[in-house]
Amino acid sequence: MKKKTLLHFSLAVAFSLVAVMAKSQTADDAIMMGKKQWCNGLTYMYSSWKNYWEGTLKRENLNLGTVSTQSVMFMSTYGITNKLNAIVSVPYIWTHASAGTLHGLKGFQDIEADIKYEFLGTKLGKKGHLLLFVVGGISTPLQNYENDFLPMSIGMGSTNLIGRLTADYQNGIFFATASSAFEWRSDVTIDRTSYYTGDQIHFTNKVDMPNQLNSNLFVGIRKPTLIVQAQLFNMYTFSGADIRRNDMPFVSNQMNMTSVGGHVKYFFPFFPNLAVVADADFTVAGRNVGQSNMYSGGLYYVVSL
Amino acid sequence: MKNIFYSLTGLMGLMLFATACQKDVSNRTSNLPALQSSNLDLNAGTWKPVLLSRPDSFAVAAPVATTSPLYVADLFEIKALQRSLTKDQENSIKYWAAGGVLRWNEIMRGLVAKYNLPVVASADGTYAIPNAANPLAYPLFPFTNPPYAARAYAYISAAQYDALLACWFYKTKYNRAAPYNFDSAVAAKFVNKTELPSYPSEAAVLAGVTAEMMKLLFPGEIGNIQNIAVQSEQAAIMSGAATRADVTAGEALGRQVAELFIARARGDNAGKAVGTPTDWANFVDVTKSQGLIPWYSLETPQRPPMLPLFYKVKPFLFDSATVVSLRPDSSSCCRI
Repeated sequence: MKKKTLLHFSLAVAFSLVAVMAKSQTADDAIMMGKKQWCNGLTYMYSSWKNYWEGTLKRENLNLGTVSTQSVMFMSTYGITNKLNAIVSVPYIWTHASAGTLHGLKGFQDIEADIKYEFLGTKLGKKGHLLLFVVGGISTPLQNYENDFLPMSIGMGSTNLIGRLTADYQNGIFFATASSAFEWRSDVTIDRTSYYTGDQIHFTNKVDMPNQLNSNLFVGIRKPTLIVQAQLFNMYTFSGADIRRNDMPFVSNQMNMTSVGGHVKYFFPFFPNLAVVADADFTVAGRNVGQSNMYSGGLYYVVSL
Repeated sequence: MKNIFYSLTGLMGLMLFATACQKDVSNRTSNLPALQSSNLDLNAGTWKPVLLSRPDSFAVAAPVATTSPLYVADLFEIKALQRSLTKDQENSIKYWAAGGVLRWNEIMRGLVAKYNLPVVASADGTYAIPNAANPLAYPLFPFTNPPYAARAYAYISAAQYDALLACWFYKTKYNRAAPYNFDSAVAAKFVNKTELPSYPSEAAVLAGVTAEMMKLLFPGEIGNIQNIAVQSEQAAIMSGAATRADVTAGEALGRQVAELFIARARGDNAGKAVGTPTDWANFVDVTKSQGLIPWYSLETPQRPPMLPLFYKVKPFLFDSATVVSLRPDSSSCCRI
């Protein structure tokens, strides 16, 4: 039940990882590639949960055991100008339940493309510097994966439009980044002619997907060769029903979650085009999602064209 | 500053675009046209009922004369309603105009979906059994697993069938013209005019028989069902197809037919189909003694079998000996 979350976290993770000499970036951080710089990276992520929230009720399920999600994500960022970057990501995901009879699923999930624009850079205070970014993005399934088999599905199947605003403040080596994205989600199609959610039966195979707000806050130190940050992520779904008692999750459930974690990005002094990144995030609150712990690591390589 | 302007404008544009693409998921039966009968089946009162011994087992008194002040008052009620229909009332007429059997079946499907949740295991590893006497306590009664749902659909459908046969019997017998045919000041609102006699009202027969059956099958829903039944009857009146007296007679007939089916349902062994722990253990022993692999639950903790004695429930269309003869033989089954 946290496929979507997964993508967000992999995005957050992967994208905020790279830094590189020239800096790198992701949709939700404040790092930009310079003009004609091209960054490519691969990130591996492992996420798992044993407990989940059935609505607001936290429970375990002996017929699921521990549900794990793994992904490898390819991410590519290109500096069109110093202030305008294009970002594309493609995740491959596989799921597994340690108990019970549900089989895991695997496959390419959703491709996401973003345009990130730094529209303001100004001094703030004696030594501080403020940057403001706007990001517009779209994500859509790469294939017709099964989206009506939560929590084993690898994705929701919706095409999403994303609008994001990011503010970044740096003073010396210390920085803070706050970012929030509104995600409009299209209806999805499921392989059933009727379904029950929101206290009523629906005689259709189309499902209305509630929109989401994805926000993050980073605080830490940022130097040319090292970024270390504490991070907080929040996903909020504007509507949708709760999972009923002992029911399966459903694509349009109201899935909310908050996680706290950390992120490190390091550039090798002997090979400054290469960066290594690592993240860990722990879910501290949620609704209709698993209480997942997420770990990821990746490598990013930057070339100048 | 120009950059800021462009960026924010772009972002706003994206949001506006997103908002403009309004999501419009609707039921495929939401906007069905009004039912257009190809045949009124005016002889349906002579068809063979499922359970009724005769179509007139339950008496329906003759309607009052059309010259009676009571009838005139009924017509006046319709005209008054039709003069000031609200949007909700119009939608209610259109909804029911697609066909009462269809709508009640959809309502049934909604209830079956709502109650089709297996109970969560108790702390001691057992599973509580839904209790018809306390339907709103967890686990809710009923658990509409496939056998329960199949029986519920069968009873509702068979009871509706017999009730409508009886309804048609009296329609033909009394041959009371529908209000929109009798009085030119009564319109056929959002329904197709037919020559079907209106006494007793088929919509009210359906409402009465279904609501009464639901008391047995979905005892936790009777309040909602009663509201829906009243709405369907009110829609029939507002549409110009039935008078208040047609509805009152129809509902009473429907409820009486339901009582017959309810009496049968109480004695058809379904209440005992869940079995006891002794029964469940016995299944395993007997199966093993025949050299076969018994069914066992793959769940943790193991869940008892689902209505395992359902095979003893009395069928509608054949006797219990036929049930046995229809079973596959076990010779090709999974031996130990």
